[in-house]
Amino acid sequence: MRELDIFLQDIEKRAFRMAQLATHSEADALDIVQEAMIKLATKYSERNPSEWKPLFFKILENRILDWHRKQTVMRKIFFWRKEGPDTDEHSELTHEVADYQFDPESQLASEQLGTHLLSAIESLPMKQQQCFLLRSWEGLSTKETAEVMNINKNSVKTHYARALSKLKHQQENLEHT
Amino acid sequence: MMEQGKPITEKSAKHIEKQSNAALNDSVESLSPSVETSLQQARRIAIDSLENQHQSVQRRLFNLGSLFNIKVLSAGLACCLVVFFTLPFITNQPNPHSATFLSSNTALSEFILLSDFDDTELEVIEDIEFAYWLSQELDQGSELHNG
Repeated sequence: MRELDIFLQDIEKRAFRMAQLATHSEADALDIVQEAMIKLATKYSERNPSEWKPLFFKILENRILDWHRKQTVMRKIFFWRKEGPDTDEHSELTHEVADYQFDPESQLASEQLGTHLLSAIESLPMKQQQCFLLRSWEGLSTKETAEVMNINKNSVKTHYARALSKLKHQQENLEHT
Repeated sequence: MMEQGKPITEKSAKHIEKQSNAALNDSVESLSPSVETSLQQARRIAIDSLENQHQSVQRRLFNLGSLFNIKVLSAGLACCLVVFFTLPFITNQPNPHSATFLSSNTALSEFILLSDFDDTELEVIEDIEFAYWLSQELDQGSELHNG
């Protein structure tokens, strides 16, 4: 149990950020992470700790997908509503990052780049975003990412290449401006 | 890796990965205290739910253990003994082999009487019956001789 606690402590912030990037909502991201933690603890805590990471991200990925499905249904039911929450909270993450940076003079360039990159990652399509975060940030292998996302390895490679290409394009746009 | 006609080299891919990871790590480091508190609570809830699950399993095992007290065990043992001693009496019936033979013998006689056999067929059946009778007589004779 102590081992699981340490594992969750180690992973919780990154999981939250991943969920926040996918949902653009702090509250929903917290709910998703909590659900994923509970499911891992109650269903898979007996598994080998080396399996926890891919299992946790698989649960998280499924929860995020469920959230998107619910949103799609809600949008269809309440079609007259504008998509306020998503667009309002879209920049929540980047504002938050900007607020907590220190020494603005020396870090202005990196802050701008970081904020811009986060915004670019946030604007990636769902699959590309998840693929990029799992492969690049979490360091999962192509095979592990494919298992977590329930797609084949070639699709992982394609999503990852497209994500990289879009991020590079965004970065070049920033450099030009 | 082509987007709008611009290829991405491995070097630039690594560069983007590095910058993105740095930006993401910074964003994680700078999470607001309220979010950190919420995450700690979420973790606590997950660990508590696991503890509750373990406790409920232990409780179930304990309840199962309480079934095995002296009264229940002695009652079970008494039932087993009753079954053990009454079972041979229940199953002790006449030899089914002889009953089958008798019933099959009478059934054969009825079958012969009621069927329309020609003379040749009847002779064959009579021969078989005679051979069977003779073998029985010989068996009985040998038993008397031995006895």
